[in-house]
Amino acid sequence: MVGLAEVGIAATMGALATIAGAFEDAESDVGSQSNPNSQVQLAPQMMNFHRYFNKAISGEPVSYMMYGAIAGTIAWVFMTKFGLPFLAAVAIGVGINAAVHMIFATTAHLGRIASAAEFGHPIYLDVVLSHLGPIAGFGAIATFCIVSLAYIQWSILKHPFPMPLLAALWGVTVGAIGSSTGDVHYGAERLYQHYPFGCGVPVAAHGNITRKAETGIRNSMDSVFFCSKFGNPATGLCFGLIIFFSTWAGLFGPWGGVIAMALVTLAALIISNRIEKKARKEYGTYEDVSVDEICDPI
Amino acid sequence: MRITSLLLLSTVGPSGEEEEVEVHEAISSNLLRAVGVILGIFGGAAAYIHPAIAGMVAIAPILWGANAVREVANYGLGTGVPSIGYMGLGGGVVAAILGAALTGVLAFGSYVNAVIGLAVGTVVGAFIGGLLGFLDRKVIKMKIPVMTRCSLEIVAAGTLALMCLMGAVAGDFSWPVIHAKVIKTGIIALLWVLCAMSLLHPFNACLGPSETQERTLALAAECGSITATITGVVTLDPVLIIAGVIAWVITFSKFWKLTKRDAAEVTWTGIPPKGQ
Repeated sequence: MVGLAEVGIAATMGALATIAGAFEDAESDVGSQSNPNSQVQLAPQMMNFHRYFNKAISGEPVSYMMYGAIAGTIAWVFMTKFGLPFLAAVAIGVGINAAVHMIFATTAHLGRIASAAEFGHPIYLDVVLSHLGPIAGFGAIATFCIVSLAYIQWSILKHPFPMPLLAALWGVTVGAIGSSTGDVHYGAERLYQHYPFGCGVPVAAHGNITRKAETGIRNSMDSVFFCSKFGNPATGLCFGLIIFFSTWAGLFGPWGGVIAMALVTLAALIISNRIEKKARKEYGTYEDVSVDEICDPI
Repeated sequence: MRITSLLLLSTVGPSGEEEEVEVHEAISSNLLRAVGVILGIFGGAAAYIHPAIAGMVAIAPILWGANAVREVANYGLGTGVPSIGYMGLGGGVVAAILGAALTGVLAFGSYVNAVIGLAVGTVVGAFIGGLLGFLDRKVIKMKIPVMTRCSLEIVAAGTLALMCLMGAVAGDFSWPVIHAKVIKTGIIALLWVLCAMSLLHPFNACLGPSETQERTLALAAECGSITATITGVVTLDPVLIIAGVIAWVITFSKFWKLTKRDAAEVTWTGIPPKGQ
């Protein structure tokens, strides 16, 4: 018989994972760490100067391992050494981590753009300052969820691993999910409006980014605005479902987990197919807009 | 002291042959190697005097490792820059635990034990790195002539930086305390990722045609300072926190100055011009 407490823990972990996944993907979109990463980095040498934030902090799994490890270890130290309650300790950990996160984001952007000096790309300081808030905010929400997951496993489920290690491992996991899942919705639809449905780009067109937004010049904030409608929740759902499936298998036996997994995967496939078909039918191609207006060719 | 030297490196041309190119160095790589090894080993072993010494000297091997990453990544590794950092610390953590475990069986006195442990750990790290680099060249057939040497240096530097931080967290570079305070508590995961990021982030962040060694190394020192500060926060050591924050302010302002020097233009805002 499955107790109410176990179901509660499973539901909490799934919900935390969903929020972590969604905000991790949103955070990576603000700084174009995953989306549209290579395009933003190649744009200067294709002579497309832009106002995107270039947050080249390693790959997402390792950068989130760092955020999880810093916040998790500091929270653990404050809980065990000073007996602070979890929420107070995690607030300190996530706060210190947000400062480190912003420093890494700033140095990555300044370094990359300064190294594009050969092409004459200027550094805009307002781009740095305006993007740092969302980067730190989304990152803090994701990190809070990661540390909470590690805390639940360590203190309630009595996992044999220590809490700092669990936080680091959850960081790698959420980074890997965000890096692989979020990329499908990487705003390519927005960036490559000169292709019929805005889909994938051939290598020759790399860096050929669309610089113009509906009003003014596009920046990373527009990417996250677009991705937050579908890409980010889809990433969160993916991570949340992984946790749900594994806890279901524990609660209802392995076959219960497998059947639920098969049903949800099938439903996700059908829904994705319907959404894409509906969008293509309703909105059509970009062909009615002239190429010069949109893709700003060299 | 600034030594300006020219280093002859070979690179791979489009047709697959190796080409010689000149790479400018503002600070000699040999100086970085020497300072990294000497400060890392003798400073790391001084953790028992005060953990802050070991925490701060970790910056020296980090500079050495970041410079080695820069040398090898100049061959156009691109997205491989982070990977080589993880590889450095992946091999490094094995060697570092071995070096630390060695102090548990030696009986020469605390400081000498620690020096031997750190030195042997670094040599084992160098061996693992050399082996990985050799396999990269011979099995995977990467056409990077400096791969073996740089991989050796990266893993050795990563090992040494990790061992210094292990000493800083434990308060002494000896196996019983390291096992109890660093490995059993899981703090080694934090140290691993901080060292890996300190090694790979400088060149990864400054990647581009206008990259300069001074700016990359200033950023490496800045990353090392953050690493030292976080280690101080985790061990609740006020000396290490203050020293780390002071080092961070100095190195970050240095990086900012060099960014202003190297960038095409630093301005508050504007509409990006069309590239010519």
